[in-house]
Parts: sequence; structure tokens; C-alpha cells
Amino acid sequence: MPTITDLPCEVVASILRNLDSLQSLLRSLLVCRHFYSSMKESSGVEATIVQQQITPALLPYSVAVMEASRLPYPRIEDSVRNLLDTLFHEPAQLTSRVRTMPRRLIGIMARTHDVVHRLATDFATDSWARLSQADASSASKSLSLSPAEYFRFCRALYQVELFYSLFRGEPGDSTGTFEESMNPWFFSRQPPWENEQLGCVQEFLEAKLAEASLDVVAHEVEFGEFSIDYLTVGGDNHWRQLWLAQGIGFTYQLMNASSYDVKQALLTSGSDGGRANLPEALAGVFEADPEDVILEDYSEEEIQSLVLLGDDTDTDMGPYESWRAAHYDLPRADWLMLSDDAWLRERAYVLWDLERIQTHHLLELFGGSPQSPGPVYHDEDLEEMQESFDERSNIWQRGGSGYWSKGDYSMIVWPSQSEEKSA
Amino acid sequence: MADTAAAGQLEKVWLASNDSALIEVDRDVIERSVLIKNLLGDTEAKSTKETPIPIPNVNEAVLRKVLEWCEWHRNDPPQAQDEESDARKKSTDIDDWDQKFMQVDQEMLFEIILASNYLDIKPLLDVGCKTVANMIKGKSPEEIRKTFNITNDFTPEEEEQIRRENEWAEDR
Repeated sequence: MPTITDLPCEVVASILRNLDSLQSLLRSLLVCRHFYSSMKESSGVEATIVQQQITPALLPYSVAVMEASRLPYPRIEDSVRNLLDTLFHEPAQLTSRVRTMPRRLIGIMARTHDVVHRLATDFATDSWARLSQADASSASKSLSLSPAEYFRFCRALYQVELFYSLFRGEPGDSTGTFEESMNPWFFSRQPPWENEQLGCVQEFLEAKLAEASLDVVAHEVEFGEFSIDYLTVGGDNHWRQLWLAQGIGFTYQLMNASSYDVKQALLTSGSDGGRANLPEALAGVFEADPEDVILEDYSEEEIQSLVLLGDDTDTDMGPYESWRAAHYDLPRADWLMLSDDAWLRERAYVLWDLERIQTHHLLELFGGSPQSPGPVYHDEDLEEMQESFDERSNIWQRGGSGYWSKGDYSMIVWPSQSEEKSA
Repeated sequence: MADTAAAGQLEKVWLASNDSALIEVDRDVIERSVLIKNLLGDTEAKSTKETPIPIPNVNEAVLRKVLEWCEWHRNDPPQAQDEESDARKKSTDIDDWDQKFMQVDQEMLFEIILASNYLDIKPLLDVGCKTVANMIKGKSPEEIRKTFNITNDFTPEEEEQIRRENEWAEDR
């Protein structure tokens, strides 16, 4: 009567190759010597698992992110451009590198994908809930993403991560390495609606980071001393952009941090990282057109040339139609990251399939008048923030630290208390 | 999938299991086994009731079960040899018929896996491996041992060593 331990090593290795995650693999290796030696005697078990975990169309993006994070500082322009050329023109070349990748890197790839998957699912669920609640659409509440939509949400997250991995400056660099002259390497290779997808994801991540960091940033004395803005949204909030530039893993960790202290430690460590500003980069993709020709007046050939820039693996016209509905009366300079379109990006308007858009009549909504425009804070909020900076700075200068709250100083730690504690 | 319309006109092959049962099968059915296919291709002699092909590693019950699978899949297109595309098939991708086919006790499951490995029927081996992998997923080492009645033959030190070696795979 055969049992699993009677199976030859190569068969056990085949079983292990079919596991769904590296964590499952690790747990299996701890079962018995036979499992462990089967893995040891076979090559590429972990690579096969990761290739099954990450869908084929996303794999080149996943490898590109990994390779980008390994490029030495300072970044050499040729190596950045070569990597992007390979991703856009020969993605299979990147895919083939998985087989020879060291285990440690495969582990990092799998963890990054896990974060991409969770954030993509969160964003899709949040944005669909917004579409179904507030808008005059017939969107139903439950969401089941099509494979094309899942790919699109994940790809946008990978591309945001790729931008940060490639163009984050060295720690201490106050500017980051992205310059407008690099647009042709990255943004100009894709049509505006795919770049707008990055904008959607970026703003989703920013909202999550803002929510997760608010308690610390608005109350920690030290953060007040540095006048760290917790209200301003977008590229002008340099602290928030600095933290976002540490990558989606950083944001995800912050979102899931278990306590105030853990968040504070994370934000402090992120403050020393390299800078990058994706909203600024996206806003600079299109130069102003002196003629101010609006999208509606573009010829079919001109539109077609934009469509042809699209990813071959995603030919659904939903993103294009949504983008066109929102921009038909606007000139090129307003095609990306328009502040009036923040409500659309919150609803992931360029990430849905045409079938879903048509079923729920979303084009009418996307092409209609803006919803909830304007800033999400008021002048008195700004004044209050400024006052908190002044108060916290004052406390910091007198040697105080810890948690400040308006009118409540009970959690401020003064030097004598710190000494007592350390004693 | 299974198409027995022209079965009467097809060449027959006789097999002998290791418990001496004689089984007659259509040649195109048993040719799902690369081992038998090569054997039939290499030899002039025909396999008859008197000179069956011996299958020394497989008993009658298991052989009949394997042949049931081969019969159902007799018209499947040949599997691509491309390792890349192979690696990307999700382990959850087991079709309904195969899933039902694999609803057997563990003894039979491992017998089928061993037989498909011996007979070189890769698609059947894949289905078997995926089925076992699905039984492992999400379980702790102890739960896996319990599922398959495995004794832990590691010392605590060895376990710790394996954990350290494989920190790269941990969810951090």
C-alpha cells in the first residue's frame, strides 16, 4: 500500500511545484526528510511556483520591478532605458530570467506580488463601492473583476512601483532622478488612459497612506517641528510623496501597522529614503499645445496613433472610451491628472472593461459634471494645522517629545521624564 | 474527449497486469502512455492475448483505472512540450471530469501517480500531482503529516536549520 513517502523524489518535486505560494512550500519542507530532499534534488521548484502565482502577462512587470530595484546608484541612464526597452519590446526576455533568479529574489518577487494583489483588490472594491453608492449609475454592489480588469489594476500598481524603483533618488537626494526628458522612456510609450491608470493608483495609495499616517503626522511632536503637512493632497505634499516613493510595500506595511509606535518608527525610517514625485511627473507628461486643440477635434488617425501605443495584452476599449468621455472637450495639457477629475480617478474610471461600462451606463457618468470637486479641507483646517506646527515646535525646542493633542499635554514626554524612564 | 464510434475497427493491444490479469485495449487508448507507444513502435511483433505486454509495476485495479482515464482522454491533443507554458498552468486548473476521477482513497491516488509515472502518461501524472498539491495547500506541517500519515523524522535542530535556510520564502 503506497503512501506519499513512497513516491520518487522527482514526483514529490512535481507536487511541490504545484503549490500556490512559497509559504506553502516552506511548510511542506518541514514535513519530513523525504519532502525536503525532494526539493533539494530538484531545481526550479520555487521559480515554477512564482510563475504560477503571478499571471503570465504580469510576470514581465514583476521581473522589471525586481531588476529596477537592483540597479546600482547612481542610476546609469543606459541601464534604466535598456530595462524599459526590454519591458516594452521584449517582455519574454524578462520572463525567462525567473528560471535563473536566486531564491532570495524570487522570495521578494512573490511578496511584492502579494502586496500588488491585495492593493489591486482593495482599490477595485473601494472604487466599485463608490460607483455603486453615490452615483446615478445602475452599478450593483458586488464586484467580480474580469481577468482583463484584474490584470489592469495589477499592472498599474506594478508600473507605479517600477517608477519608484527606477527614479527614486539616493537617500538624502532632495529631488529624485526623474526628469521630463525621460518621458519618452516611460510615459510616452503608453497612451494617456494608461498613464491616467497610474494616476488613479497613485491617488489611491496616497489616500491610504494619508489615512494610515494621520494620527502620527498630526500629533507627534517631532513631526510638528518639521511642519509635516497632513492636509495637502498630491505632488505639493513633499513629505507624503517621499513616503510613497519608498514603494508600495512601505505603504502597505504602514496601512497594516499594528500600533502608533510601529507607524511612527516606519514613518521616521521612511523620512531618510530617496525622493520621487509621481504626480508631478505625470502632470508634466503633456506639454501645453499652443493651438489648444481639444480632443474632439483630433483626427481619427491622430486618435488611432494613441490607441496603437496601448499594451498588446490589453485591447479592451473600456479605458479609452472612459478617458475620451471625460476629456473630449479638453486640450492636450489637461489630458492627465486634471484636478477636476480626482473624483473619477477615485472611481478607477480608466480601469474597467467596456462591457461593464456599457452594462452600467458609466460613460454618461464619466462624461457628466464633476462630483464632489474642490479640496477636501478648508482654510480653518489649514490654520489649525499651522497652529499645531507652532505649538509642537515650541514643545520640541523646549526638549519635549511624544504625543501632542490640542489642549492636552498629558502625553508629552519631557527630558526629566525620559531620564527617569531610561534610569 | 471520448469517442468510441470507430472503436470496433481499431487495432487492439493486450496488457498483463502484475497480478496476471489480461486486459484488451484499443491501441490509440494505451498510446497515451509514452512507454507503451515507444514499445509498440519499436517492435514488429504484435501484442496478443498469448503475448501480452507485461506491466510489472501495476495491478489490475489500478491499470483499469488508468485505462479509464486514457479512454476518456484518447482524443486529447498532444501536450505541448514547452516548459514555459507548462509551468504557468495553475494547479487549480483540473477539469471537472478529472477532479471526479481523482476522488479516490489515498492508496489509489498514489497508485495512479506511480503508474502514470512508470507508464509515462504525463498529463495524468500532472493531474495526480495537482490533486495532492491541493490537499497540501494552506496546511501547517503538522496538518500535512496528519493528512498523509507521515512521521516527523526531523530533530528540532534540523527543523530550525530548514527554517533558517528558507527565510527567503517567509511571509514578512
